[in-house]
Amino acid sequence: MTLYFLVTLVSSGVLVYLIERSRNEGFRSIEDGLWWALVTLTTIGYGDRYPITTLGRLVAGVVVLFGMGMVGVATAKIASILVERRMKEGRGLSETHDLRGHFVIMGWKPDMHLLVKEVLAAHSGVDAEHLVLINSAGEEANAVLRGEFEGLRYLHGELTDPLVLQRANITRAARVFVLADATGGRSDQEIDARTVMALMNIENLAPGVYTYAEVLDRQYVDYLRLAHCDEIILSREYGRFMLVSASASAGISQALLELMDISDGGGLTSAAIPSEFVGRTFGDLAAHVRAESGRLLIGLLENTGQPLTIKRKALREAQKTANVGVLVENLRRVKQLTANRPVLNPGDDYVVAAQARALVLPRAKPATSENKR
Amino acid sequence: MSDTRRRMLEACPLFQDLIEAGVALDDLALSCEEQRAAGGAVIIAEGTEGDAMYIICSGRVRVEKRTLYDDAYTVTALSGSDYGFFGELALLDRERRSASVVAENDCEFVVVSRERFHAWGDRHPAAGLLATRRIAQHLAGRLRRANADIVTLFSALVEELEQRL
Repeated sequence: MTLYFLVTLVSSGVLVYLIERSRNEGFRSIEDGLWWALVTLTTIGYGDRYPITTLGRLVAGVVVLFGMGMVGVATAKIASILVERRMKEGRGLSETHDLRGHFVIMGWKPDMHLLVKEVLAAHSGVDAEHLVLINSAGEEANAVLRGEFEGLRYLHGELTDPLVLQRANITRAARVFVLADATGGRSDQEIDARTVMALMNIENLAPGVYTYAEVLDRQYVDYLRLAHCDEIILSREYGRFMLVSASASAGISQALLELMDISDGGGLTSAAIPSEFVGRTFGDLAAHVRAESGRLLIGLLENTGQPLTIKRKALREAQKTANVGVLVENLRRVKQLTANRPVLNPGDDYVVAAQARALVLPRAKPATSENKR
Repeated sequence: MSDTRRRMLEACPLFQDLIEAGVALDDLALSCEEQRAAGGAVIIAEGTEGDAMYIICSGRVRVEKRTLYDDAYTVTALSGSDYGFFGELALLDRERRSASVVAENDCEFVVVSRERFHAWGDRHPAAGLLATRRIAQHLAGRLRRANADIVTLFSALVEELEQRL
C-alpha cells in the first residue's frame, strides 16, 4: 500500500512536471511536481498549482481518482485498527508492551472499584494508565471499571497462567498484588493454593518485582515465603483480630480503624529517615521527628526497599572480610535477612540501621484535638 | 646506606636467626635495594607476577583484596614500626601476587629480589637454610589458618545443605 502510494506519487509528479514545465509557471522544478502530486493524491487539493495542458489534466484526472480510492482504503484501515484495539481492550487483550514500572493487580473482588480507587489514592506515583488488572471476571465487570478509570488496562486470564503474566509485561512491572480471588465458588484452600501458584510463576518470570499476596489461611504463609512473596496480607485474620480486640477492650476497634485509614493524610505511615540519623539512636530520631513536624515516631521498618536489591547489597558487603569465620557469619545474616521487618517502640538507645524507614503517626488536625490546654 | 639496609634486615623476623652470622647478613644487605613510594601508590598489584619481597622501613601500607563482585577491601595494614614485610612468597616461586599492596603514606622499603636471594643462599648455604626455614615456618602458620578456614567453610556448607534436605 505504502509502496503503491510512493510509486504513484513519484511517477505522476515527475510526469506532470515534464508535461507542464514549458507552459506553466507553477511547475518550475521536480519539487513542484512532487508537491502537487502529494497534495492531489491525498485529496487535500490546495490548488496552489494545477496543470493547464490537456495531457497534464488527463494525468491529473487519473491521479485524483486513484487518490480518492487510496485515501478511502487508508481511512478504513486506520479505523479498523482503532476499533479492533478498542474491542480487544474490552475483551481483556490490552497491549502492555509500552508499560514500565506498572502496578499489576491479579484477581477479582466484589468491591474491586473501591480497591482500585484506594490503591490509586494511596500510591501518589501510580495513575490508572499504569495499572493492569488480570482476572477472569469477564468483560462486563471490567467494562465498568474501565469506564470509571480512564486508561486502566485489563487482561483476561487465569491467575495461574504464566502466559497472561507475560502479556502483562511482568518483567518490567514494579509491583504485583495477588488477591484472594473468590470468584468461581472455590474453597479457601483452592483460592490460597492458586495464589501460591501465581506467586511462583511471578518469582520465576520476574524475581525482581515486589509482590504482595492476600491469603485466607495462615498455613499458606510458609508456601508464600518459599515463593519469595515480599508482603503477605492475612486479610481475614485482620478482620477477626478487630472483632476479638473490640470484644476484649471496648472502643479499640475505632482506634485501629483510624490507624489504618491513610486517606486525608492521617493514619500510620512510613517516612524516609534523614541520612544523618543512620547509626544514631531511636531516641534522637524520635525527638527530631517530633520537633520537625509534630509526628510521633512509634517504631522502625527495617530492611525496606526492593528485597532482592537489599540482599544483593548485603551480600556484597558481607564479602569484604579476610576472616573466613566472619565471612560465614555475615553470609548467614544475609540469608536470614527479612525484608520490611517492623520494630515497634524499640527503646531510646536502639540504633537506627541503614535501609530503615520511620513508622510515624501524623499530628492530629486541630479540629479533632479538643482537649488542648 | 648499606647500614640502614642491614639494620632493617636484622629487625625483620624472617632474618632473625642470622644476627650471629654477621658476614652473611652483610652480604644480603649488599644484595638488596631501597625503594620509596608516595602515599596512594600501588606497590604490588593483585594478579601480576612478583619477584621480590618488601620490608617496610617507614610508612604504612594496606593489603587489599577483591570480592567476587570486584569490590576492594582491606585485609590488613602493615607498618615500618612493627617491621612489617610482604611478598615473601615471591622469594620461593614465580607465581601471581595474591593481593594488592597500596602505600597509605610516604613509605621506604628494602627490596629483596628472588634471583639475588637465591644467589645469596648459594654463597651462604647455612644462613640460606636458616632464612628459608623461617619463611617455611611463616608459611606453615598461614597454611594452618587456611586449613581452619576450610573446616569453617566446609561445616557451613554442610549445615546449609542439612537445612535443605
